[in-house]
Amino acid sequence: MTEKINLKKIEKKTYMSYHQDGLIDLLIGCGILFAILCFFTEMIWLGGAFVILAVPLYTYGKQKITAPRIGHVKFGQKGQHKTLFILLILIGNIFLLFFLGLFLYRNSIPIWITDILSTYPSLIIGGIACVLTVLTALISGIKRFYFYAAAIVISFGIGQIISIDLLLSSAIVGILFLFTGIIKILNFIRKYPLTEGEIFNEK
Amino acid sequence: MKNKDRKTLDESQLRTSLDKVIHEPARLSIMAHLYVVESTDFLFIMRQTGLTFGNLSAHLSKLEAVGYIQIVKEFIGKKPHTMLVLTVKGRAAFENYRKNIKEFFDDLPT
Repeated sequence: MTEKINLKKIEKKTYMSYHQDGLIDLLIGCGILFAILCFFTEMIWLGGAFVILAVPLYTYGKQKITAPRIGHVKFGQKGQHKTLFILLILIGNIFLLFFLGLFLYRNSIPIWITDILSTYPSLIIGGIACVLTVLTALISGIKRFYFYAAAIVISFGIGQIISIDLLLSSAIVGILFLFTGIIKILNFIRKYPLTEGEIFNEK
Repeated sequence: MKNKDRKTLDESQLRTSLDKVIHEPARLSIMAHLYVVESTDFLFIMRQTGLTFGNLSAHLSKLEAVGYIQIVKEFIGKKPHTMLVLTVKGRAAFENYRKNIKEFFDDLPT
């Protein structure tokens, strides 16, 4: 009986089931690829536009895809803070990649930092991204973020060893996020058909 | 003899102190899910508990009748939406139930 009312487990399960749709993966994947695109085209405002649009886009996706299929839930302050913290980490991750790339490209940071960054670019960027991703996994309890962290280590580690461009390693990770997000969202849509959800919610 | 009396007393105390409305497994699951969120809709709670539409409706009606949950009808866009909220009374009752059952199991020899 006590196992049945393990509230922490229920809370975790409830939170995770609301994030099984793959929207967050899609958003991160798009964000990384968008940052790379901004870097290539030097259109900085595009990066800012994405950061501003990220949260409304995510909310819209939740309302149109997730809620009609598995229902709507409002988490308390704890849950809301958790989601906000995750989004901040993810946006921070994308910003970090974007600005470091931009500064490196324009040679506008101190030489000693540039030296370290130019000697071990993939290890430094990959290391920071990996720590942030693991942190996200720990806070959210979404286990696939550990897989992403491992993918980041492999991608950037190999990138450092065989001197692959930093942006290429980032693009690999971005594509992985995007690809996983697409698979997750397709599975989610197939698992929870829309018609059933609409009938139940109109009770 | 003394121990037996104590055990019998504890069991009878448990029977009287346990909230029968919450003690039913399906309703316990509903209450537990509502306890960890601010509010949720009918579909979400159905997915989480694995109950059927009719079964969940019946249990929700019982919980609403004793004032443990509040069923709020609202519109999201043009669509009607049923949101479920645990009331202050329901929250207190659930906490009390947890406390009682925990005390009972804690007293059992391992």
